[in-house]
Amino acid sequence: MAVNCSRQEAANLRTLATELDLESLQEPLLRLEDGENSLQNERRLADITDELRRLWLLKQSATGKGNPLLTEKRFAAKLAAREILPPNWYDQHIFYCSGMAAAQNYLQHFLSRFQPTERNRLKILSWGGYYEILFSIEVVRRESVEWVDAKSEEDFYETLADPSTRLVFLDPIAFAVKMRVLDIERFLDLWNFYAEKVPRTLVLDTTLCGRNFPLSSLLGGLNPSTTVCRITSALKLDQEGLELQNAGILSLYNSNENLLYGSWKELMEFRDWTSTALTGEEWSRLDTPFFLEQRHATDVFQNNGLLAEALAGNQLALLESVSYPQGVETWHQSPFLFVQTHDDGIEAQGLMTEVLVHEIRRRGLSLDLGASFGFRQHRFEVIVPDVSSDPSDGGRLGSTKEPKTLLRVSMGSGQGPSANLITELFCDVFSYPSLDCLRRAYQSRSRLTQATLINFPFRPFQAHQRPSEKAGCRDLTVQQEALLESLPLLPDSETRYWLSTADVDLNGGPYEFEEREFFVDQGVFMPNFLSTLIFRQITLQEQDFENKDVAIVGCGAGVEGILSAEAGAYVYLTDIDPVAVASAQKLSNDHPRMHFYSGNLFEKVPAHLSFDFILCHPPSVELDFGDPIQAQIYFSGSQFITELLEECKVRLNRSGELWLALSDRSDLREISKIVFQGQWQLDILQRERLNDFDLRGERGEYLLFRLGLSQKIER
Amino acid sequence: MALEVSICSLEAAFRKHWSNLGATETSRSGIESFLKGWIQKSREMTFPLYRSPLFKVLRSTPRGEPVRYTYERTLNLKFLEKAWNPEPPSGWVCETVLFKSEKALYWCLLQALENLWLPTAHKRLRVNLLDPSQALLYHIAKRSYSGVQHRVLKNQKRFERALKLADVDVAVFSLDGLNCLRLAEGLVEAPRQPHFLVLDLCQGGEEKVSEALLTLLPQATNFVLTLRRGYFDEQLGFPIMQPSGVTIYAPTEHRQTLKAVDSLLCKLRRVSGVGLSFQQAWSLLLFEDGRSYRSITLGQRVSRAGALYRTLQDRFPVTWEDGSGCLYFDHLEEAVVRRLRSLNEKFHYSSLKLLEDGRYCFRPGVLSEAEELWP
Repeated sequence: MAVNCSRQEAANLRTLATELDLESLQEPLLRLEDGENSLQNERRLADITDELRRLWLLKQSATGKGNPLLTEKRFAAKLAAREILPPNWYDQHIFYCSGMAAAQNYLQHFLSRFQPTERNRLKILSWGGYYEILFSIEVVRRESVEWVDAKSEEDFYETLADPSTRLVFLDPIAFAVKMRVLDIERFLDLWNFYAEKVPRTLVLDTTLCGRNFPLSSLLGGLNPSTTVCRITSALKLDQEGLELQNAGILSLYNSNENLLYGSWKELMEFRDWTSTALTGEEWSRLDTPFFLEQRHATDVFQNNGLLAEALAGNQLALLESVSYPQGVETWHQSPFLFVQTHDDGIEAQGLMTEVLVHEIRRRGLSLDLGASFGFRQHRFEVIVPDVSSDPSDGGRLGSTKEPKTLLRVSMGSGQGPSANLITELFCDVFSYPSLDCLRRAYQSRSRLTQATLINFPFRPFQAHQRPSEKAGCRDLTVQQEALLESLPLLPDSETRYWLSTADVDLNGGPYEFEEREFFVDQGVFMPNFLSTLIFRQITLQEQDFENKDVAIVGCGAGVEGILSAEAGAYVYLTDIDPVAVASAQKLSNDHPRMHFYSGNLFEKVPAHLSFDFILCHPPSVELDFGDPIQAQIYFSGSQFITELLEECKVRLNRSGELWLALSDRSDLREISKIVFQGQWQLDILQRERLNDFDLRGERGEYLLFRLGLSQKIER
Repeated sequence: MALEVSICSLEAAFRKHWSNLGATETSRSGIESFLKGWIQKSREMTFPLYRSPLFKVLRSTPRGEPVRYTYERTLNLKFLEKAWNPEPPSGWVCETVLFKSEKALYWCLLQALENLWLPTAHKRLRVNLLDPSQALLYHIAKRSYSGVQHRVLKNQKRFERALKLADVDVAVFSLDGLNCLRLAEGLVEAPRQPHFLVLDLCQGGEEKVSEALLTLLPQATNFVLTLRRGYFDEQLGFPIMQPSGVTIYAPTEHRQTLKAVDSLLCKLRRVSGVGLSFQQAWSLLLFEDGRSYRSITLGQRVSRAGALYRTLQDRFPVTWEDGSGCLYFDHLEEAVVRRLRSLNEKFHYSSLKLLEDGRYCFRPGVLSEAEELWP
């Protein structure tokens, strides 16, 4: 795989930037071209790729729309020029707003031409079809339209021999657990034998094998009475992996020019009546020199082929199979591969995914959780295949064992160091002798995951009800509105990152702060560098803690508690997680001013105690245990803050203060609104912004909220 | 319009412009430039997202509600559709499904009806149409092979006759010129109810009429579907884009069937590629309070229609029913029609339509200077 290099990648990207006339990206890309082949540079390139895409889309929306028909004509000519057809074959190309729209338009067009009735029955045969295409066919099935979705090659050829089979949907690379390759010679022999008797239409979906599919040889071998329609999604491989605009292409081939023109005309008219053409604005996004070029696709196929080869070539104990097209032809390829493990139950796959995510982060690889394929960056996801209940031949998807889950790895075109390291990663993880061994090796993580769950009993964020809509809520003052405006907006922030349990550092170990080392037990959330720093700065500069009563809610490892006790305060630490409380107690070395309570908020704290300061650093990570697809986002959300504020109202002394260390992963505006609605006075004492990803793993903006009660509620 | 301001203030600005709208040129251009700003904002917010975004990338509505999808075409538009879904009359439940255009809506709706009915030579789906749109006729004609038998009726009487003969499975009406009371009476007396009663508001007519009609319908009525263009009332007469929606009403006891129909339409929308992109959906969320905007718009339109009626009544054979947003002309001279159509630009989302019975229906746009258009 990639000998190098970020350098080559930077050069490729610079070519794109030049083609798109995006001057501002030239300089950073030139710098990266001179840089080393590092993971860090690879990440920077990924960021620049996203920026390039964003700038182009904005630029095109500002510069206006071209004439869609003229642009389409230009790109249709580009396609036609690329394909050298056999003598006496003609082509026409139509662009749609998606590949599925192209397929659906063609199917409906075919039906309206064929006019199936009880007397003129139509049989549709499909092989290896994408599940949405199969749904489209399923919808038109009725008494006069029969559909056979072939489960095996024999099944396929048997149905092909039936004269009532008039429409055939064919994926040369079958989209299946075991990706199978069409034997073109055998297919041609049988097709031509029957084509003599009845005219047939062949619909090819070549989305998976790209433009390397030898269409010309196929056409050359086909009976000339055949009508051929080729459908491809032009979203992925044809757009340099940038996904600028959904698009699909329908290419028609026929040896009868008049028939071809008639079909083309009808389809164009039908497209108008279905609103499935690309609009001027949509075309303007696609109107680039690289649209329909193949340089990106070639790299995608190469990276996926190499990974498949490496995994299949190793004896990896956890691996059941690797599915990738087998064959020697250039088109025997796919932009992704399926990996099936021996134990492929949901639970096992959850553990596997968690381990992978943890290792990806630990190793700093560019491999993200995400669906689909054909990007510049690498992706993977867990899928739950829809397998046939028919046990013959292992179900429609052709596996010897029906999978419960599959790992789909979609290597992108990226040439940076991650490509090789991803192979290493999968080999390392899959080479564990058993799933139990893997579980044991990462046991601490699993245990800690549980602890985390207990520790942060937050509910999914529900900002749906605006405070002003809640009964009895007062309107915000102008100053409060202004303050809200100054806070980062949750969806605006580019620094928000989805976090999984693998991002929650629960491994324990030394935590360094101010040249001191605090040892944090395994299973306890590692203290947050920035929040500790903020607390520290406050205790040193802003407040006198001598003989003050301080409560630390959600104390975790207890570092802030120790700092407060050393500043002279009487400190009461509470945490819902008993493991954290035990760890903090150990760390305190029985400091006489520190007291510990294990429970939610103040439930275990003696009712007579009240405080001058209450400190809390609510976590703001997404907790996703075992099912990344259905990931739910958990924030230090409104429910927690509401409960905390209610408790604090009765626990704070007169003129007491509640300090919240919050990051911009939380919905700061929502939290602030709850604060205002609760009649609290809010000051933002400190804001720290970190942009350097490598500074202790932190990123984004951190704020310290100081809250004072306008009116004390007496107990 | 400054774009650096937050969405909340954009919304506030919008409401302010709207409340100041006294048909003055300034407030109109204010709203128009605001909308341009809003669309640009929607681009800025959604363009960083790939069409198949990474799982870690947060996607949310202008108000920060999370939206989840793995592929853009699988985007579930319920977060937008809920704002467009009306409060059903007592005894009914309803769901709304949006499409990128009116043509796409007809296309998918016919596929859905056909799939639900599975017509054969012996079990035809008999569709009776009163004043259908061209697009609907095109699609229905394309499906003639499939056991869909359509008949364009000349007038309401013909439909009432078909009802008496129990000869209607699907009835499609444009509400313009329809006598709803008589229709309801016909339905009550019919020996068998049509399975689907489709009220096509894309061609004209007002939603309040269709809602009133629902309350008059007999209990045995199966499904009532209202089709409407989403760019008149829901977008205050300023089309950001031109979606169309179908609201499917079903008697409460058919709630589960309603869910199945809703799901089928959503799937068809997905595989036909006629849903809305995230950017389009995001931009339409400006009208999240769609219902209230709609009533404001309707109110505005009614008052405009009333004012125009008072201006024209001495010079033209015009009728107007108080509370309606449309004026009906018994006839119009060719020159007047030509003049109105040549001033298309100035129409500003007004419409002039020739009805089957030879009358003209004029629907003034919310912001058009309708009076100036007339001689």
